[in-house]
Amino acid sequence: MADLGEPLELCTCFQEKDLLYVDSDGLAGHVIITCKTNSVFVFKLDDQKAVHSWSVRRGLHITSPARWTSGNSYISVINEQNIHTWSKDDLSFEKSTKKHLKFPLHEILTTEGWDPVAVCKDGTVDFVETIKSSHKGTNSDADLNTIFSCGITSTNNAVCVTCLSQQKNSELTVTHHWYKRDTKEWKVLVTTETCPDKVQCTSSQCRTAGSSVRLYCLLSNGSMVLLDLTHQQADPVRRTVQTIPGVGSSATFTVLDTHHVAVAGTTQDKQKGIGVFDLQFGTLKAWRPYPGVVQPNVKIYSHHGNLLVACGNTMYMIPYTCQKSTVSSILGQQQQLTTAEARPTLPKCVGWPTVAGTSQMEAQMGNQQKTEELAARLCDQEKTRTYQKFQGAFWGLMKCIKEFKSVWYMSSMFTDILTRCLTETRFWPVKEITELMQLYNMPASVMPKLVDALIQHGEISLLHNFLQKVTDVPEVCLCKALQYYITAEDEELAKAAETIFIESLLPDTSSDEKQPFGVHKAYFVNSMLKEGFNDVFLVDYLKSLNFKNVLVLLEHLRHMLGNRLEDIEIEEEDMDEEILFLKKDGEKKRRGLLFGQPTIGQIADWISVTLDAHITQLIISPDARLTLINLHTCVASQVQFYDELSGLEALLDQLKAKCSVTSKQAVGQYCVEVLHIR
Amino acid sequence: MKTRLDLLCFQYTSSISDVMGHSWGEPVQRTTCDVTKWYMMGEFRVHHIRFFEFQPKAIHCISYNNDAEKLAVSRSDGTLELWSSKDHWFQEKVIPGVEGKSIEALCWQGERLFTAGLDGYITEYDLLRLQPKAIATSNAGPVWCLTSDPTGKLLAAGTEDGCVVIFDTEYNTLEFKRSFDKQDNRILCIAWHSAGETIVTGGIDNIRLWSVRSGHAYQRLTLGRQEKNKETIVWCLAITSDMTIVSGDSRGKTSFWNGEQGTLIKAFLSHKADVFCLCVDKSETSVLSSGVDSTVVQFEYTSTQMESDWKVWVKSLTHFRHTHDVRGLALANDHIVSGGVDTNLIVYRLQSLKKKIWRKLAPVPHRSMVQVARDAELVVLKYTDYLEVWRLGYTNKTSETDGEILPLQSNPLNLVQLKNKSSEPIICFAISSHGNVVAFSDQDSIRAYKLVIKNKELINPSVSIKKLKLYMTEDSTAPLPAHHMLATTNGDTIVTATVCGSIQVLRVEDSYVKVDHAFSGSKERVASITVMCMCPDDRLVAVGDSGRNVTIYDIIRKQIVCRLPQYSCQVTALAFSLSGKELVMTYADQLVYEFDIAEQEYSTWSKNNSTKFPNHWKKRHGKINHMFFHLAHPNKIFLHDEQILYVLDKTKPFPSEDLKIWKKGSGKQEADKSTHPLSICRKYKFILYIDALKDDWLVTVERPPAAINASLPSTLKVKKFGT
Repeated sequence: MADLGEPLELCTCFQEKDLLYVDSDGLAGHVIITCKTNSVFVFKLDDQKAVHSWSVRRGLHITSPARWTSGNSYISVINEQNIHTWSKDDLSFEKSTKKHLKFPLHEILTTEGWDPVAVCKDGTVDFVETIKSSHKGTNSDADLNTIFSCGITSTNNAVCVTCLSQQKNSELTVTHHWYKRDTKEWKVLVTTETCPDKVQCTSSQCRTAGSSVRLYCLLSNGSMVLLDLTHQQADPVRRTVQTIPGVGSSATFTVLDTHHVAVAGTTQDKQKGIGVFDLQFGTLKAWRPYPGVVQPNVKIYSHHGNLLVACGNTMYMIPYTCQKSTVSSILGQQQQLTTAEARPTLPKCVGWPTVAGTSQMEAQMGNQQKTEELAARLCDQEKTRTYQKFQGAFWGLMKCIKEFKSVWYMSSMFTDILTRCLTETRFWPVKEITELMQLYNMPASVMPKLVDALIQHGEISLLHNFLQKVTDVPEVCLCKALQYYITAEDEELAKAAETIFIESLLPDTSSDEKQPFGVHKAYFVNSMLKEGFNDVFLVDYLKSLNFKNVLVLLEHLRHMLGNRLEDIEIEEEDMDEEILFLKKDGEKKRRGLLFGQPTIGQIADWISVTLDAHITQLIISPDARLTLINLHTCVASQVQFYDELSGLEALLDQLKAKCSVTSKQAVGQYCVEVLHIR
Repeated sequence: MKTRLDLLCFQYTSSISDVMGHSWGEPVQRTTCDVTKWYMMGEFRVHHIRFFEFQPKAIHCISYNNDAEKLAVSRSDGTLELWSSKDHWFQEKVIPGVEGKSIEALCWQGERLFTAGLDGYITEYDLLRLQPKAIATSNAGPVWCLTSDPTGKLLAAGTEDGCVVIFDTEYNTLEFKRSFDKQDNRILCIAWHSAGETIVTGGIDNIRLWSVRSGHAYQRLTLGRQEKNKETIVWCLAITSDMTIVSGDSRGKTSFWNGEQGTLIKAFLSHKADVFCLCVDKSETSVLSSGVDSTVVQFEYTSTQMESDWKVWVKSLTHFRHTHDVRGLALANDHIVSGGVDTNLIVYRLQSLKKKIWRKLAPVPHRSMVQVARDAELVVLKYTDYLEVWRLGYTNKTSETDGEILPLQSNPLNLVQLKNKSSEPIICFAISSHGNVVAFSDQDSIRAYKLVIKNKELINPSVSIKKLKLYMTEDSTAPLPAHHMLATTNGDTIVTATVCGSIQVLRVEDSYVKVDHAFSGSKERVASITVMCMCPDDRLVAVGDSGRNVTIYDIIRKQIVCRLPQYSCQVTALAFSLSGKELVMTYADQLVYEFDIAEQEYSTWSKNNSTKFPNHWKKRHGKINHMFFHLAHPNKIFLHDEQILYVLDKTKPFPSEDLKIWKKGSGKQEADKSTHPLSICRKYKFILYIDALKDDWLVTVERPPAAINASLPSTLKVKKFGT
């Protein structure tokens, strides 16, 4: 579990581009904020108050952030060559102790228990006290590379300074300098890491991990590379811990604990923000958007249980908590690795060492590879430009899938293939779409596209079958289909009805009253009315229904409402005649009438939502008056019917009460009871 | 569309008619078929009524008269009750309270009873007529306390204005005599020293001693405060002959003072909250106090060592019998009587070294507030100033299971509410067995009404009431206000026991009521009538009074039939047998006698059995409130007190006096029914009334204690272990 709290404003005393570094003070809860241009501030996080501040004279620039040394003083570098040391009691920066060097410094690093270490621009690393003597001129290795990041960490008896530089050929050079207390000399080890093409290291940080040093590097492709450095060997143990999605070249991170990192510049729902990731399980534990407007290269630090993020000219502190993750705690959590790049993490057959080499596994692996290739071909419009090629690849894919029953892991690929089918303008792969509809349980997000495509191509029967097959039709699809059915020509619908063999089941229309829809149209419309829906969403989508169609639909609903009532009356007549042998025929007739029709509850629901969606226009429009009057008459007669039913219910209740067995009652205010006096 | 529904409706109504045994819309016919077996088996169907919302009131004051052995109790609504301790704590008289008139103090002077209240009046009550006799104003605002001088010729009242007011009561008068110096604060309690020279009063923060001669305060005892800004109120005090003043105050302390020197002898933090009442016994060696925390604490004046003369006050026993604030305490010879907000009177035996023995006198009045019209099956409920006439519910269902509740075919219905226009409390009332005449009386007059109920069995019967005028006869004898009244079966005659102690027979005509006869002999009566009954043939009326007399009158022949032998106790209930030839009496000592009217002697059954009632029966505390006979069981007498219904079978003799009727504690019948004549039913509590109707029917009006307790105010919160 991890949690990000509400952001608090720490200070507004700098420009984001000028921020050099935020380090922690030796005192608990203090942080040192160093700005390039002018100032060093010390803030107390508990109450967000400035404790100290020192300003640098105009014309001078701080080139290395101020650090807290073991000697209870601050150290910093001005104009790359002047080392300044001062204590918190010094009121003015000018009174600090100065030390001038003849060569430029990159940065001064400090770590607890050790003297400050100076990192020269040319790559030389030594303690500040001895840097003058140890600097021997230009370092040939560092000539070509520019140090873009360096860090310091200490183990039990050694201190390690890591310097990262990256050449244009994407080769990442890590130089780690080790100084041991026993040998009292510096040992330099160099290792190189090859990054993928056009991938840069965006940020790095090192932490102690036992006797070794763990270096975290975040690449611009989202990979978090972890290097375990030791002073014995130059080649570190390398691991790509996880791929963090939504990370660009501007992302930075800070390590929170062994397994958690906070990354600034991650994207979620097209919004950039700060995320806490669990590197062990690859899950996003917490995410929140930036508290303010940020520059592309946002800087993030973590000190004393708070994340410090500079947004504009404001430094925000966001409190965080991290608990160690367990499998049970992350179950059900959203995996963030679901973007296109992260597809390989989908479950599939892998070469398991114990069964590797068996023919069945090899065949499975081969099939999987082939399947993926075919799917990639189908998705690529260039490779399957013609219908023949597409057809070949598609059915080949189907064969592979059916042969090895690997439908279960193809879901996301099917979505891509279906999207390809629907967006294809050169040909209309109706068979393939039908096959996909049968084979693949598509997500609701794809359905509107499919319905649109089917309507566009006039595939009425396919549309009908699809909507009948799907259990939970999205409301937008319901409205689209309804609109289409109402406006469609009767001939087309009749033709479609023939193909789906429903002619024999269609209701009898030998009624005298003029019906708003033909037989086939009524059938298709009713099939939509019988689908389940959520009224909140449906009202929204129904607003897009053409007003003329609304009137026709209301008329149709009214007609059905009246029919249901008549149907009951017909049955009553059957009863009156008391011709028992005809009762079966009457039952058949009734079922025929009711076939395909929604229930009375569904009719009432649809009347309600339709009126809700178009209430204003229905009131204003004179065309709607007759429809509304008819509807009112019909509903009133229904209400009368139900009133009488409730009267009957009261009567039956009374009968039930009279006939029920008397149970043990409380005396209450009055009762008649039996008394035996013995 | 309707065809189907109509068809269904027709079918179902037909079915219901079949089930119910009658058709819709017709009145329910009350049949007696299939019920004969019920009374043959000695089993009953009972109209169990709990809707009578009788609520007893909190006790405010208690005062005991040692000479007359009577206890006066006042309640929060101004009702005054008189209990006779020599009749085993029998409630013999009740004077209903008037709305808005509170009684804050009670005082006996010989056999005269005085009350004082916040209306600022001292009232003397006529205990024969049960009316106020004399009234005197305090001239100093509301009266909080009242006491009598040792000679019984003066009364002293403490008032809101801070005055001690003296009243002269000599020669049967009640007159204002004088008032003492006015003090700043109200006087809440008062006591008169036995020497008659000193009056002690208690108020806010102090106790004052007054000289009766001068009317000036000569001593002031100041009480400390528990909190700086919280006054200490002296709620109660007493003074002994050796000038020891005992006070109870709002701090919960019972303090003993030396009245001569004005010093505190000892103070006990005896209570958790205010001490409201205290009393001193005759020997002045025991003091009892109680108050808000409901405990009664006893103090003893005892020697510090054996054979030592040096005595001190010590706290001895504590009694926990009340649930709410105790407002009144009194010592009745060797008994302590206490009462308070929980409406109960508790009587303890004042024996410090022996086992604590106590009894609770239930707050149910001895005189019934319910009457039943047997033939019309109506019930009349008496509230303070109105009557309610109810039609009983009905069922023709039967069951052989004891306690089974039968399904009702019609619910009880409130037909009429007769409200007294003057809003004065109703003292007595009567309804004829046919339910056609209802009458009641308040302190000023009687009122009679003719009641016509049409279609009584329907859901909405029509009820019409006609008020009957009081007709003055030529000899200007007018119907007098009554203490008791009875109506004959057909309602043509009403018999009243008037406030004067006489018996009047009133004839009910179409539009008026006139006095038909007044029994002149009864004018000599010196005790008020407490109980009255009429024989089933409406010919004889039996009357019992507080003077232990029982007289039988013939209202047709207008003569006294006989006077029964005077018994040592008051009669608590009377009933004529079904034949009207015998009169059954129950007395306060629990014995039951039967008198043969024709022979003018106790009947054979009575001679054989009346003195042989088992001890278990005689030791009961409850008094028989009501007796009746049932048509189906002519040889059984039905009796009930406020908790138990008894059935006494006259055909069986009592085997021995040691017979145990019920198990101690459980209340279940112990003895074998076949061996003794008494059956008991403990199903109802508190029983306000039980009477017989036709066939196998009984009417029981019950007021459960839980319902009474639910209406009581909350008690003082006392921290208990684990709470």
